[in-house]
Amino acid sequence: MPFYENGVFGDGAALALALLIGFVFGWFLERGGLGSARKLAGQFYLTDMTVLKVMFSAIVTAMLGSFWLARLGLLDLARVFVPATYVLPQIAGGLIFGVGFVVGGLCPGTSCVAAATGRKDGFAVMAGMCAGILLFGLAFPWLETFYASTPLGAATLPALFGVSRGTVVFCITVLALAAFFGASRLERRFGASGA
Amino acid sequence: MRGDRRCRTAGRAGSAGVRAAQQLTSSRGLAWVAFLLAAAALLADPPGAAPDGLRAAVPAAGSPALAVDAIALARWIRDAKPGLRVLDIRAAAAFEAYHVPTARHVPRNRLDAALPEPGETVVLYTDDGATAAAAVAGLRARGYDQTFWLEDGLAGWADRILEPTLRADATGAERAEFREIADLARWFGGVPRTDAGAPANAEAPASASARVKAIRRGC
Repeated sequence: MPFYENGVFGDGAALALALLIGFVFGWFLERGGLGSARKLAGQFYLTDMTVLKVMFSAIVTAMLGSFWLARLGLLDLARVFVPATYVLPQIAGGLIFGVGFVVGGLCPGTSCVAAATGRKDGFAVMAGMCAGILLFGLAFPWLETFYASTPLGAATLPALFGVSRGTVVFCITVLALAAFFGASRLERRFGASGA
Repeated sequence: MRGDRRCRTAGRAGSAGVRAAQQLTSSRGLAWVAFLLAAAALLADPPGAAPDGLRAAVPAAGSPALAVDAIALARWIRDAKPGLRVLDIRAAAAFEAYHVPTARHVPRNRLDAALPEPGETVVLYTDDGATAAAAVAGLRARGYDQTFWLEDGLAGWADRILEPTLRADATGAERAEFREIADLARWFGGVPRTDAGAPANAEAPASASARVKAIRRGC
């Protein structure tokens, strides 16, 4: 059960928890080395696949956790908010995000971590991110039609493909494990020559 | 001697436990744990089983939109739409300060006691809309199709009903549409304005403007 959405936590407690979770998240990102643009850029040179491993680990952990918590009757997935999918705008957003990631060497979360540890590139990426938010806000009246185009509603993979949730959980886990294996091989091949 | 043997046996068992824990938390061990949990998920929820829960969260083609804008809600209230219930799911103090006319206060964690009956239309709102949207998505997933959230929440209500503004460069069609919105706004005690900031109707009650300011102070 989402505690905040169901009123178990008040606004003050939710904000305090958000601050605590954000601090812990930032701490672990930094300790994992993800506050360094050099490490993140290694992803694109295939020399350091930490980002892929961290992301897939988070996805698989959350997916298995929510599936089994729901199975054990501790979580009602029907009450978890699923954000709406808009196919073309989100593909465009993903591409812009990717270009920004490659150029800046940091993503929004890691840029905050980098800035918090005093890295200048972190401040630069955060400034670019804020400028992008401002530009998007100013241009929104012209982008609004595209922004709301190709809607799929609160789409989920089981619903889109008409298969059970267990099937999706299994397939994504196998995909993640294959990605971990492939990433380790790539690191051995390119990481060694790049060093 | 016997004590030493017990110690060595316990030591061996302990180091075996540590080794097992290390193996389990190594990358390979975690991969196996993930694979076994995923395989168990496949057995618990096999490919032939109907996807439950989240499938219903995807609105079917032709199902009503999740949100209703402030103008549509104002028309529903003015026209006394049959079966309409407007629920304010903000804090009780915020509800006391101002609420949409006809709205009833229901805490978020008491929504289950206010679920729509057949033939009823329920509109939820908060200050900005995001929390109400999440609540509506949950209710829709449980089959309550005639549930909506107020687009942009009470802030949208303030902008479009309590203080609608006519742009200086509005076209003839927009001006005609604004006249109807202005009438609707006045019905709720709102103050229609032009882009220059002057009230479109000098006789509009001042109390509505004060209420708008009160809402915006909270945003």
